[in-house]
Amino acid sequence: MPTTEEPEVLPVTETRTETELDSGYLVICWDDPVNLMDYVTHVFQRVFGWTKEKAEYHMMEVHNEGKSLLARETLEKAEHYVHQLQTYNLQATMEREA
Amino acid sequence: MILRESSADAIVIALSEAEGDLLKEIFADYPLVANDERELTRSAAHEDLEEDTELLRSSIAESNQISRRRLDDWLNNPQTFLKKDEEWLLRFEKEQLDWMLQILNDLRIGSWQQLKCPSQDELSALPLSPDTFKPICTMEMAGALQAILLIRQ
Repeated sequence: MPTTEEPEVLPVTETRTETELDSGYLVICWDDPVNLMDYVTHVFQRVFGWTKEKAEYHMMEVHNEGKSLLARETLEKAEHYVHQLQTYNLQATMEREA
Repeated sequence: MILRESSADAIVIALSEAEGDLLKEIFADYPLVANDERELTRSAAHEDLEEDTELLRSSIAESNQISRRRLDDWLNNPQTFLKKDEEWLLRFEKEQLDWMLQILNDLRIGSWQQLKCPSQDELSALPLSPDTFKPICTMEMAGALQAILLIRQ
């Protein structure tokens, strides 16, 4: 009867996906007194591919609360979104999650 | 400024002779927003993002150059920017709307910055002077055009 070698057992180490490790950046859009509300909605739809309803919800949040959290992403993706939003001249930044 | 035509493919807007001449002058200023004031973050703890902030500024400068070329093509194309009798006819194909909105918005925001970023109340109370006249006209003109394009897109 053939025997098989016992496999080497490696100690269990904690692993996390890249997304879990890095997704600590918040993409925030801040209110300003000059961008038109319909324009902000248009930009959110273009950049995030959101429905008009979702884009309007976040636009109203910016308007009423002074800011809206648009996405929680990795550093790279958060930078990408901020680049896009600032190309449209929205007041968008990324902040590290506390 | 009158909406002359709105279809699935395009929007046509008519401007008086004076409005069209003013718009050409306004478009000549694009891009207007101060690029070196852009920040990637508002947190002081992100000094390590200095290089990334530079990248943001250069990437937007590059994007503005592309928009400038598109705008020049649009202005020089008699199919899209045409003086006819005593009016100007502006034609926006649907696929041109997004970058045109970006350009108009840049002109509004840049003019607002030139006026030292006033609040809405301060803006409506600003007196006309040699320093404020052009930025106020630009904000009004670009805003009116933006509003029509956004409603009809």
